[in-house]
Amino acid sequence: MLDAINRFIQKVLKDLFRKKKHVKLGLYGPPNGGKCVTPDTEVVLANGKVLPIKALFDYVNSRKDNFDMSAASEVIIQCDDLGLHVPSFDTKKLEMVNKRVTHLYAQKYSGTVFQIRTSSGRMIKTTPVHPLIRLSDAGVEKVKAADLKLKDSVAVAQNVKLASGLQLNSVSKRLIVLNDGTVQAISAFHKPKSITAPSAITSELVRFVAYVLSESYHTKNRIIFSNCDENLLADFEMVSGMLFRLQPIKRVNKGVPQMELNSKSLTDYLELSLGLKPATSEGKAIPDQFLGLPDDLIAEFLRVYADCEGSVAKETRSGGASIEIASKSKKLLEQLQLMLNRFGIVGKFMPKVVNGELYHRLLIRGSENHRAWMEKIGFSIKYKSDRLAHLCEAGEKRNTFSLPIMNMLEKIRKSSGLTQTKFYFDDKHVLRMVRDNRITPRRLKQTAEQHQEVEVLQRLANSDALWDKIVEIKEIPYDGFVYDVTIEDTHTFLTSAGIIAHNTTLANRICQDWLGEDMGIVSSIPHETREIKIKEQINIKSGKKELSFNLVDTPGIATKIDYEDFVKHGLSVKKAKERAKEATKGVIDAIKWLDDMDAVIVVLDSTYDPYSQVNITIIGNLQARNIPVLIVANKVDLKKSDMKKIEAAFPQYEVVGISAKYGKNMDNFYDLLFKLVK
Amino acid sequence: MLTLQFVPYEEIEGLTSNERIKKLLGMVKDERIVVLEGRLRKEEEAELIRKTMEEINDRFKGIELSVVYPERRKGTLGRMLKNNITDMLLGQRQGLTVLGPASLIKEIKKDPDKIQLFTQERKKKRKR
Repeated sequence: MLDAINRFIQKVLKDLFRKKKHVKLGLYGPPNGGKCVTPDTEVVLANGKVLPIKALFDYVNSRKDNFDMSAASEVIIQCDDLGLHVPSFDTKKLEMVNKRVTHLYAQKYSGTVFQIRTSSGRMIKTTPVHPLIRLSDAGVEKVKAADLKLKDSVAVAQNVKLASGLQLNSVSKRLIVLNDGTVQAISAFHKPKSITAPSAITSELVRFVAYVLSESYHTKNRIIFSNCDENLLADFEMVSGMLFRLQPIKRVNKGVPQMELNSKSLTDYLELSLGLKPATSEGKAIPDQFLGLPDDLIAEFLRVYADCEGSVAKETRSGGASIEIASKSKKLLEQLQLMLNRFGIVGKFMPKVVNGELYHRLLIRGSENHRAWMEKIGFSIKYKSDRLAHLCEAGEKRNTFSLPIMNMLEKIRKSSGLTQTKFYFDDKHVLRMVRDNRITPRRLKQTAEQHQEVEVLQRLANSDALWDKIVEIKEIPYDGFVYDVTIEDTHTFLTSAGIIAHNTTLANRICQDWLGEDMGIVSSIPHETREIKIKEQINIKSGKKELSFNLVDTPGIATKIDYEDFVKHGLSVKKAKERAKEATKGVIDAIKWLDDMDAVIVVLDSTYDPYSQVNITIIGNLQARNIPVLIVANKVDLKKSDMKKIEAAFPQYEVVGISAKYGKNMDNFYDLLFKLVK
Repeated sequence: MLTLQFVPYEEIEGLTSNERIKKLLGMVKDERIVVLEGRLRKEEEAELIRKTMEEINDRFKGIELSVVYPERRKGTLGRMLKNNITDMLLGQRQGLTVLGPASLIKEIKKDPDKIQLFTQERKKKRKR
């Protein structure tokens, strides 16, 4: 008796003096997972800047909310007013467009990340639920990384148009501007020679930078350009004089002619006006601003760079006919690829080891790419130009970016009653194409031209994406922050390697956190969440609303676990027994947490019988503990959905119907959530 | 054959929480369906599930559990205090708890003031 009274008093005291510092919210339902990429994933911005997604997040965080990331486990920042734009792929029209970034996300994640490599050497690391864009006979769709398979074809960008200004950064604050308009580096010991300073990006400056990046030794006070070609040497001398009024010193080093510009004013000027810093070959990078230049200047840069650094295969047969650009800097090659993208040229990245040192190669293969190079970029060195002309004559070969849609095309052909010869232009290779289920982009274009009336053909043939085969999927353990962005309307962004990744949406993010569900895809295996996941200090800020809390994602509490249920879902008996054991432990842990919860969200599928989904005893138990419960009924967009049944099952609780798939009624859910934890 | 066992509240009233759980779980593991007068304390309910989880193995698949009790609307502070004190002093005599082995009971439906119990059809008899 005394014991009972004592317990009652304790409870009343606990209720009265309950600390409300961090609300602990229990999530009773399926597992959650972040749809994110790793921090090193480089994102392309519309102005040509390429930066790691973490740097982008940190920048936005510093401009907006300034969340303390060391304490947070998940942060969502709204940033649609910052005017950040990225090139984005419209998955319906299959076009690249520039779109605004509206939100950025960071989330602590511990688990597996998928490293996906494509046949053209592109790579991306994402969490298992992060989707890429896939093309198959079923059409263009987004598919989670975990559901992608080898040989699937994912989208890489082909026609990216970045735009930046021609104006250079002002250097007047860091360099001395003399009376004659020339600029001089600041030095304590001597008076460096002044140079004239161009104020805008011109054809000469573009060429000069290409010389510096391709074959120059660039330190903090000198630039030495080495090349055997007389014309290139002469051009370097000319642009140095025109741009900076500098006369290079001519030398010959080990038989190679050199031009040396010995000027601290020049190196400082390049760094301040363009961000072109002295760098070793690994660290070389093209100034961000150059990626968004007009077509003619980009073409000029590429031509000069490839004149110096590119090699063109002699033979069309041996070892792949290609234009090859090698560098120790992967970033530089990715930037070159982004520039080439302007002209629809897409190459392949391959590593190369020379004398034990790792180099990277960008290989431009395929006569279509070669013709585009010939027409839009060209070479000024004659033998390279001649070789390229020879490559352009080559016939069509199997192509890295062939499209896996022959089954679909055959269906269209059969329904139109045409023969293969008529439908595909001619019947050459068609047997092989059907067998491999692959058609080259060029063949698709020819076919599409023949059949203007077939809309899907037109869209695919004129798409701004190429389709790149997955050749490797690795699962890597990961522990740390992962990041994501939301792009308005089109919801895709571009990585520096050119892979198009789908983004997350605010509604989706909440669905994942609260409902563990991503656009209607849910694991059908019972007891998927077998461990407690705790996320501390989650901050959500949207509009005027702000919420900070701890989230405890618990396994659903069951009173029975039968390993045979797992066997029914395809697990081996041994695995099923292991999983059942884990599940029992999960339930035990979840029970321990019950006392610690401030509020609980129960997620139900409104198209199924509520009683078969939730352990009513547990709900009753929560009620007995005076823990507020919010019932979320998902999938109200479906006809089968029966909200009345759910409401009738829980007369004593607030029930909110939502559609995670379409983000329907999320505001209402939000409001109730705020109410629940306050 | 299905065995139903009625347990009046007096039978568990004098027991400690651990003893109550042990007793109920023992009956269920004996393949009996238990109808208990009143309900367990909330901590005991949770502890029962916890214990069940610990004992799950290839043959014992867990339990099905359902509780019906009169709906108590939140009233005035005085009424709530009175209810709470009654519960504390007398235990929860009101209501009814049904539990049984998951291998026998397919599901228990609570709707919310009536209980429907669906039993599993046995495919084959197990040799003991």
